[in-house]
Amino acid sequence: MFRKPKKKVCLVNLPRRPSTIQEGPCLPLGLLQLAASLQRISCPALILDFDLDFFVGQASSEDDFLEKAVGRIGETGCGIIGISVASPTLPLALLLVRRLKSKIRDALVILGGPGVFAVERAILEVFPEVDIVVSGEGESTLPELIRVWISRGDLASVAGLSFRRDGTVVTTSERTMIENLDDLPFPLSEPSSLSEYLGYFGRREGLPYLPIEVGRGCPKLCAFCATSRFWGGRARQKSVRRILAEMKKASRLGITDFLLLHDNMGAQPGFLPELCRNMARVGTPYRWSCAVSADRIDPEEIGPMASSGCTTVLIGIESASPKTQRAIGKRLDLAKADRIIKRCLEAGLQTQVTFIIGFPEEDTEELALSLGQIFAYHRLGADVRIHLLDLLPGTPLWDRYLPKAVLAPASDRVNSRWIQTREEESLIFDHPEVFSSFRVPCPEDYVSEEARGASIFYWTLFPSFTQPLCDVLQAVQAVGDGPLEVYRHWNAWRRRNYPDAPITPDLVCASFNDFLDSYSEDFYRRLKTLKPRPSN
Amino acid sequence: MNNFWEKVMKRRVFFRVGAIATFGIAGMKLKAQKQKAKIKLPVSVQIAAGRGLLENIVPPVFTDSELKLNTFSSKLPWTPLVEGGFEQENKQGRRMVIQKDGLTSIYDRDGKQIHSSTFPQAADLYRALVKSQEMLLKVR
Repeated sequence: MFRKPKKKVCLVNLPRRPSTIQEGPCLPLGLLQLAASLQRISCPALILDFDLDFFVGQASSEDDFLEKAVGRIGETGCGIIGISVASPTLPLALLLVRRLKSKIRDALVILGGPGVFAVERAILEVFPEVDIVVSGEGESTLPELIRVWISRGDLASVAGLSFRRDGTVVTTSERTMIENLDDLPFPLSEPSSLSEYLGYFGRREGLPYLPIEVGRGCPKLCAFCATSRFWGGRARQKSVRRILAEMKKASRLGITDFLLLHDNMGAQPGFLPELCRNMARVGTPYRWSCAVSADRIDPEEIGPMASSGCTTVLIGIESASPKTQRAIGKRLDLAKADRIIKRCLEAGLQTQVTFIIGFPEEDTEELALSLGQIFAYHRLGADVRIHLLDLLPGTPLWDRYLPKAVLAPASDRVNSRWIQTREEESLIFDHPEVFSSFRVPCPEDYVSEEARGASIFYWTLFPSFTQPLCDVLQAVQAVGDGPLEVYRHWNAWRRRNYPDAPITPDLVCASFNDFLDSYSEDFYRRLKTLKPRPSN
Repeated sequence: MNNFWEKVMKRRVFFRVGAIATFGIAGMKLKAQKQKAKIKLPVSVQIAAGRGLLENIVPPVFTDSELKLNTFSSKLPWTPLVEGGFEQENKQGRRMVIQKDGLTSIYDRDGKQIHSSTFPQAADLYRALVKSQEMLLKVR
């Protein structure tokens, strides 16, 4: 029998920083879930949400964040500190751990979350301040780990861990995934924690919405995505009954908007129709949003989704090129995806469509297909989001390109917006093996230098200059220019005006208006040479 | 006889007292354990004071993500204003107006100005909008 743990656990949610927060603070669902799991073994847990601190302006200064954070963690008196890490917050997490250990020497510091995936060993080898790294699902690992640690048992008996023993890193056996997600405790088992968030959320328009985890895992093995590696290659889902029970519980707290989290909502046949039917039967005016896999759902399911309260769907297309689809292992039926997107728009759903550009395998023609589709969906009213390829640890692309991957200038990296201090930047440069997600494929690995440049160009401009960019592209169609030709004009202009400057987001942003001045003159000149259209 | 019943009663009382004492204590222990199990241990989320600061404030950097904090988005259409500048209206009925010099103002539903700041990024966007709309006008 294990002794009943007496130590308090402090679970830390790291800040995303003001420049990266997209839709305000978000409940740290993973930590709430972990805290609820710890409750099951009567282990008191406390969540420190530094993300919210940043959002509300309590921690606006980057410089003293670490000092303040260490102070607040110290005030809790917790002997066990668990830090939830995403790839972009890994440098900050490790800096925090360093400071923490210098102040609270006897604390047990545990890292977990998707940010440590595939780099557990590297972290422990480089950072002696980290005691244990939890891999994969923490809900069953963390309670067991804490019981064993308090009872001074053998950590090697706990599956899903990496830790240091006599100076060498020990990795225990892989933990079996939680088969039935309905067995997970309700993350909202302590309403008072939620009500504090609601105190803030309630004052904002359009909020609050509550994330509800619907399922984990994905049967697709896309080369750029870590989901199927981290959560397993089989989609596991909570039952509709359980999801509705969580919604009902939240609705008692006044929340009726939900974000249903699952990478593959349509993976289990019949799940979505059953969910929609039951939502309609409950009669509660819930509003919900979710991500769907375009080739796993039926266009006929969109209507019932909309009528049962679905307001927003996210559909990942990634590339409009069949060749790239094959290269990245997604193999999406693009024609079907197109039908689904159009059906969603017709049904009045806010339709978010995501694309990834900058795949090393992508040549200019394939990129042009994606860019054409991006602007076409934008014109149709979809909320299109462009991402630049990020090498996520543990993914096939990471395996393929990591050996030659380079730490590009900060502005060139997807994760760069997360890095705010010189200390973090130097940490990344000093330990590339730990911060591999901050590296980009080597320029030589790209089949087309032009496609790489155009990817950076549009990735930079599209979010901030959406309308000017779309207006320009619409105008220059008259002279036969498309997205690729606009980039080629910009690149030629760059060579003339900044011959030594590499293509970086900073350069693209800073030069766009000057380029437009020059390009528009050229456009007017070419427009004049065109034959006038016959009048009716 | 009396003595006998007295003895029995005493024993019964003794037995009852004993039973109450024994089972009572055990019961109380059990009850306490049950209560303990029922007590939800605190998952208290420490939230700093000063909430709601951003409610009506344009963040210091004019980027897409931060515009969303105010439920504005660079993807919402910008409309040119006769008096100069471009405006966009969000779902909540608030209007954001950007001027040539980067002056960015937010107005509530009633037209009351609730914020005003100058951002170089807004000036860049303004310049790009002017140029792109000129180009579009040439082909229409």
